[in-house]
Amino acid sequence: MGKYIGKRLLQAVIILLGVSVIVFALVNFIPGDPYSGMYSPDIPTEEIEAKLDELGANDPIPIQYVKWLGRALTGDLGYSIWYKEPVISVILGRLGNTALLACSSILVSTLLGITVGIYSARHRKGLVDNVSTVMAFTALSIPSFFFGMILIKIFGVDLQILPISGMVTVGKESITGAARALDIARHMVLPTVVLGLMNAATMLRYTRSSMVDIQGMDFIRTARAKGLPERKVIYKHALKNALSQIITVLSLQIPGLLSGSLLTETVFLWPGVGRLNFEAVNHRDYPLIMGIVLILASFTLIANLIADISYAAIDPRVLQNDGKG
Amino acid sequence: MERNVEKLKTPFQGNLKKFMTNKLAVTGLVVLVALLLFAIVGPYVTGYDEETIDMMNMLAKPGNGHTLGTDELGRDILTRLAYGGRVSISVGIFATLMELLIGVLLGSIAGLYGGIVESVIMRITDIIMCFPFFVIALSIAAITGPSFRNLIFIIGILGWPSVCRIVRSKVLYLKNMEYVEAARSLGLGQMEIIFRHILPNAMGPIIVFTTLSVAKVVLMEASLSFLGLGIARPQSSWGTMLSAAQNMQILKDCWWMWVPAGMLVLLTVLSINFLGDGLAEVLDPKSRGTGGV
Amino acid sequence: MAEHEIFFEIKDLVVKFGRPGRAFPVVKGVNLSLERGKVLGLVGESGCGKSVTMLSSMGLLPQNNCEVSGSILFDGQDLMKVAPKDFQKIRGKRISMVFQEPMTSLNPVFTIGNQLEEMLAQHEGLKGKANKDKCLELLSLVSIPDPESVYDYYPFKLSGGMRQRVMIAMALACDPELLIADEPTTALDVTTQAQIIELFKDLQHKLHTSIVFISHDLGVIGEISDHIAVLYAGYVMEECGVKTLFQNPLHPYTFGLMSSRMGRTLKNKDKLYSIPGIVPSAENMPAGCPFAPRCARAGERCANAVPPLREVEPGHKVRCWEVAGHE
Repeated sequence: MGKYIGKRLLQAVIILLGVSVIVFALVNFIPGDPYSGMYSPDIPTEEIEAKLDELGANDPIPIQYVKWLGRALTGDLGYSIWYKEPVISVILGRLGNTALLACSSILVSTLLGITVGIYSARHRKGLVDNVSTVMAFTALSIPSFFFGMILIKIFGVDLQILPISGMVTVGKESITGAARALDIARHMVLPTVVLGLMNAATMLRYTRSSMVDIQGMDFIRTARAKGLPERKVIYKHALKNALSQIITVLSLQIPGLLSGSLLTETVFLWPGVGRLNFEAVNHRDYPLIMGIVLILASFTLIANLIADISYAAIDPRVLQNDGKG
Repeated sequence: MERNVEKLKTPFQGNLKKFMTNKLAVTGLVVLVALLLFAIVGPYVTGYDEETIDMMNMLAKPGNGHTLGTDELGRDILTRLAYGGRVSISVGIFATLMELLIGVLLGSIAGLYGGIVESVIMRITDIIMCFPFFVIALSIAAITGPSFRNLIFIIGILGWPSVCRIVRSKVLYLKNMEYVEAARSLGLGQMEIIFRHILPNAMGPIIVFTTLSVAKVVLMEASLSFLGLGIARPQSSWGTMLSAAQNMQILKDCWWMWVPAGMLVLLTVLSINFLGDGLAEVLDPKSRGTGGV
Repeated sequence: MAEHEIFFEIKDLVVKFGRPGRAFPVVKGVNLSLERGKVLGLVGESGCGKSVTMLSSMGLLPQNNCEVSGSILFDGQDLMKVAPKDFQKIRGKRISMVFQEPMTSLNPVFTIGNQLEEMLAQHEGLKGKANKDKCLELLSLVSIPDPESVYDYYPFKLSGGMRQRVMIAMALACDPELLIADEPTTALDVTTQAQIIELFKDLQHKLHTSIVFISHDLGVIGEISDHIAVLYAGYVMEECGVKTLFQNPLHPYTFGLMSSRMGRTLKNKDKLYSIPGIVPSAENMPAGCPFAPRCARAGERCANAVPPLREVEPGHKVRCWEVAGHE
């Protein structure tokens, strides 16, 4: 197990290095020097040049990369041009809000996706299966921002039962305690519905197809032949085998929720990393953009790593096969 | 259970029959053809030009000569939808072609040559796939600036790894098959073997990937254009039309300016996805993962 | 226990597969019976309906695409009429089954111990140490070396033969009255095959379990059975005691099976015999005797009507127009 984790960790580090090279290359593609937003125009050019030399901006590219990487590793991702703050603190300030939304939508999507997926697999071609298949395809095909805008139009504008933007009601920022939690919860409903339903669709498709596969397997027949109640056959024997599939989907969805919520956060004006990313793009705040990319890519890698470790914990054959290839 | 009856038919007939029994896939195909017809023929039928400005009818409601109303400049929405469809669907097709070009080429090379070449290519796919697709696409778009050509370039350069992996695994599997060995012993070159013997046999998964990728790209285009980083003026697509609804007033009061465009994106992507699922069932059953009893 | 008591009987079993209205019969009126403590061998080529017959006795046929009729009497109770919930209490406890594929029949993500233990917990209510002791005892019973370690193994660590032993241990866990063994040796290599057959014989001797043993290999069947039924295309073709069958096989199909068996020895390699043709598929079943197209002795009558199963001598039934004694 330790060897397996070590191997995966090494792979992740190599990929992360590759990611950093690309991010660094993109930073260097950008016209102008990355510090141009940080000094006022009335400082003499010679002074700037001297400072840039000191910072290493005129070093050969590989040396610049090593220095940049060293800084990135210590959490110094540069300085945001727009916010005039270190990139890392700007991102950390928004991460919590995104995580909140991500948690609520993962909750919705996993519960809905797994239960309906199992039910559909057990009653194939039944009403629930047919309806949920069409609905899942629709959810996978609708642009998230369009879905969000329709919800805003119906629930926010026409029915006026839910707030349509932001995280707290304007003018009520100072309230605290339960009232504030309730206010935030009300603001979370629509974005959670958008993200939750769209992710539920993927979860449902994967759960359904892997449960259908597993139901035809010999060991399920064995479990039935043993006289186990159907509940145990499905929720113990079949589900644990489907778990690695479900974890794969989750490991794809969690980083996806951090980055993919960009459109949803933009539409609902939710103050998270997604909207920050869009603002950064709009303001051409390159250090911030690259910081976000680097952090999200690391999250993706961490999620993949956790998924790999979970596979091994669930299915002992993973360790076995790993040795072979 | 083995069915002797089907053995008598050619594989194509059998596949066609299987495909035709998938109601969702056939519906998808029909709707898709209708949408394509609308985009191609539509502009000649509506009686308006894309940029015709009707000063008397700005922000007009549907009806009264404009079937789906007009926008803030008095342009006919239905006509613009047809033109926008041309752009959206072409982006889907061209970006997918670019993904295929890169992916098939690198996938074949990786599978065939193996060794260090393969490792390097596969690590690059790992790296690209670990980037949050949308975020990196947005960031590159911010650097390159929005345009039809840049959009295709960005999506192509970020989207090829999955087809590369498909082709590589197919090549690995097929290159040791007897008929490929036979071709090699006849002295055929590597590339000839790939194009004449291996790729035709990898066609199933590639076709499935292609359809699903067109759907994905149409969605991607709509999203990037909505944010103002996809298609740039003077060209317009469904995505740019949707971006009108970023204006709260239009979102609230002028549904005809954004709902039809969104619906067309949904309909296009949905019908392609149904079609792709039907094709997957026939051509690449494993990818769909529905076997069993 | 009454001598010669028939406690398991299949009557007029018909199983059809396919969509309603277009279903094809796979089992066509099979009658079988088994006395307590005896071994019934079912033999025939793959696809002849052996497994389907016995899966229906376990209530394990897929429910969505097959129709079953007839009756299956088990200890005076018609299993066809048992509610699914009550069937659960019979399956694994009173009737259990060993399958053909030891490599895929165990759940890969649970330990051997867990898969054995849950059965005892389910049917016998055994918990904790009592349960584990019983598991270890069962693993020793089927001659698994080092049961203590194997208990914590995942299936992938075991060879096919070892996994099949685990399957047998599992099947015997609740001391069933009837054990169905569906080609338990087919997927194994020859040496392991012989060991598993020995194990079955040994266990039968010790425990007096009644067994239905399915195989396509007449040699295997002959070693273990008291009574044999030869199945072909969903029909019982010949049925009699084991000695009678080997001394006086009457059906041309049985003949064919025996000749192919004889040809297996190395000396006769060049004379290797196989029955010409293939088993007709369910859709293309001939109107008459299903074996007629492959039968050297087939006459005109064979092509037109299915022969009845007749008792040609006491305890020896044959389904053939050409066997003497038919008027």
